[in-house]
Amino acid sequence: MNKFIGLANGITTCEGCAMETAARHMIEILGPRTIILTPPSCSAILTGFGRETGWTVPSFMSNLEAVAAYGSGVREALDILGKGDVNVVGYAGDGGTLDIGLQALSGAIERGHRLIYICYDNEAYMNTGIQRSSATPAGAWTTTTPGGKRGDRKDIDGMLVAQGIPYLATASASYIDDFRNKVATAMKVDGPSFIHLHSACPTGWRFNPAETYRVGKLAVDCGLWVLYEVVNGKYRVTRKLKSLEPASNYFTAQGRFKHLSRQEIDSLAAQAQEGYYAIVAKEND
Amino acid sequence: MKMTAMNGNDAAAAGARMARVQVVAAYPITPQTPIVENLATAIDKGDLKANYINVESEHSALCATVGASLVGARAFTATASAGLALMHEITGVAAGCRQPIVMPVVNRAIPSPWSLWCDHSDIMGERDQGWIQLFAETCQEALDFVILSYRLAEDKRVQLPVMIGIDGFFLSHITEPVAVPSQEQVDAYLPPREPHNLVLDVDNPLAINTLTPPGLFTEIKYQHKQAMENAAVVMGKVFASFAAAFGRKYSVVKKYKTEDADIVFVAMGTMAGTGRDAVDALRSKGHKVGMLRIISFRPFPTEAVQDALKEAEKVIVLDRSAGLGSTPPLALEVSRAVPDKSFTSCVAGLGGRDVTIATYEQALSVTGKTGVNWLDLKEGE
Amino acid sequence: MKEIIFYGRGGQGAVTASKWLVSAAVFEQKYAHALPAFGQERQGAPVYAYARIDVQPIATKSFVYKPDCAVVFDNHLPALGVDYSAGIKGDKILVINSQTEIDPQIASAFSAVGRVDATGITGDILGRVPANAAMLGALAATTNWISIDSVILALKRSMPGRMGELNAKAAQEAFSVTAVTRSK
Repeated sequence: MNKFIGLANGITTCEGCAMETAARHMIEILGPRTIILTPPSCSAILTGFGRETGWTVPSFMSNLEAVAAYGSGVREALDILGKGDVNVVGYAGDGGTLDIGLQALSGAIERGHRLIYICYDNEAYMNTGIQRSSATPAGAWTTTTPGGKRGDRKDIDGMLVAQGIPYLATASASYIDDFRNKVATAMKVDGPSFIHLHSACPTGWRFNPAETYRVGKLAVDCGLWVLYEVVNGKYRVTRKLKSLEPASNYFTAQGRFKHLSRQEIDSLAAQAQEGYYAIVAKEND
Repeated sequence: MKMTAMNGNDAAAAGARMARVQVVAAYPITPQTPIVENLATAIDKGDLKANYINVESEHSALCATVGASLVGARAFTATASAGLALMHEITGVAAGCRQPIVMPVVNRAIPSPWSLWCDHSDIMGERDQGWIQLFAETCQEALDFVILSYRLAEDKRVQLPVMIGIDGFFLSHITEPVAVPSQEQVDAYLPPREPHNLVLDVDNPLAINTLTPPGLFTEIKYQHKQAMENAAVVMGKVFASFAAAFGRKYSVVKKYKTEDADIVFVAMGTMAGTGRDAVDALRSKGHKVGMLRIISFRPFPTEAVQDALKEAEKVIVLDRSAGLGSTPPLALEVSRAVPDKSFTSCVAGLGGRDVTIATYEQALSVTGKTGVNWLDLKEGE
Repeated sequence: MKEIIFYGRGGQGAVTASKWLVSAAVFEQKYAHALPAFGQERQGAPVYAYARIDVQPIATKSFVYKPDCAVVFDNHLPALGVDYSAGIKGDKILVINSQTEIDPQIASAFSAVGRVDATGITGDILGRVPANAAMLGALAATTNWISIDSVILALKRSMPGRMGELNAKAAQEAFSVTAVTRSK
């Protein structure tokens, strides 16, 4: 039997793009009976350009703020047409999810459609050329935060858990088996599911493309990006750390933080690592 | 045929019900809300087998409607005013992706200032988005146009969405006798949708609405233009088959005493009905006037307008939207169609201002005045 | 063509009454329409509905300014600044819900006045609900433009079961007891 190839080779994403790698694994798990929606963003490159397409499954390029709204209609139509087995998947970036797409996402979750929404979070508007989003971490340089971003990122996961989403998970392209397991779990959820995928971006974060998976792994190992899932409100950390790597290693590996002083990095590192223990504490609640 | 008293909103909803729409995605906005309340109730009671999506905005309403249509369902939404303006981004997608959606627009003024009441400023903002636009005048038409619009929209040669202009309150909330067809009649006229071309189907995968380079964009847009031209032809056939099935005849324009008229008024929607009574009142005073109502604004029926106005010396167009900065939209179209006529442009009925026989008398009194003549303007306000 | 204005207050059912009138006209193979004048909806605020009845299709879709009949649901409306004799001239009819005699000066503007205690009749038969069915009964009695049988049929179609029966009873009672005074 031929192996299902969900995404063609030779796609022109940036060198070292974690979003593309994750997409390959994601579609392999989802299988051919899947409809994919991508907004105009990095993931739209997978949907296609001109006469070419990347996905071998049906795909649609939605409007930036509207992946979840289109997905709601696709889902309800499939159900009434007797095609309830088809997966409806949104694959959107942080801008299209945390910023302009938040209203549609929140609405779709509230209504309870059976949708898999995967947000690949590269922490800025990368497709338009590295502008700040509400997912951009404190201190990070972008073209619209030339002196470093003030204030912390939006806690989208906390918001969606508070809204009562049946399944939410974080993931990292550097821990691909964990991500694959979570996609498989999301497929079984009778309702909306959300996977928040940390997607290291050499272009926007200013590091060597060969370092993508090391940088992504550092974020997890430093406790800055905690891998966990929340099933009906119950937290479970899927990668527990015996000890945390020094977070300063993560910041100094990327050009976007290079304007920060040692003191500022230490402060951000300490602050960020508190987040790891806060999630672990939730598991024990 | 059994006559039932119903208002324009309920008639439009009855049309959607009898068209057996499968997905309804809608957001409440005055004066459209009763349409989607009506459908929600029908689905809840099991009278209509459809999924209803209570979206959180009009923007999402049209996105969900497009999404549902893309997988092959017969999809429906309705809106008005600011809701339509919020949909604007997606009206382009619905038309560009050639989805046969039918959407009543219960015409209400676009703010500012805020108004709940009728004018055409909302729908005129969408006139170049590539939708078919029909304007209803009666509750009967509100029902009939929804049914026949699906047949038109889903035709292989057309594959375009349709907006049906329903004047807010003057039509949405007026109660009139309506001949309600039987479900069997409608089923015979309008078979289940057969999706064509751009369909999200796992057995026939397609990437839809992708980024399109300059080398392809113009050709895709040109196909859209051709579909609009096809719509003009197919619309005639759809009206004919509708008349054969239901006995009610429609056409792209409606003429009233235009044959021997020296002066012809042109208008759309409910004010055209009032215009026919105005024609009778003015004729009784010796004015040889006629009334031309435009039913299909997009595609614009240039030839039918030319034909209807060929005997007239003078043409007076009454627009229900201001058309600021230029000639208002209907006047622009009509003056282009008949450039050699003596031409008068009037604006009336904004923000719910009633259009009466007196409004037409005033329009007649400004015949030949250049510029845009605002009627019923109160001095000193 | 006969043109009618229904004058009421939010919650009194004037708009619904105007729709029932159209239903009743349909039973007589007549043409009719009813158009409410909408504002921001509030209980108690003045409400207007316009109706027309004709033997041929009605083209006009504008409000009524010179009615042949004013149907007044609440005789306190003048205190709210509502002049229900506006636009009245010549041979015009007033149908009014009032327990007391109508001010002769107001009544003199009309050629016929049909007075009924629609609130009282409705209260006895239906309890605290809008008196709109009774007002249609009074309209039928005063104008003869629509028969009471058609009104009753419209009410029963609109409200199947006991509510329809009771509303029909209220309309019939109002039809029977409306005191009509004709000046000409």
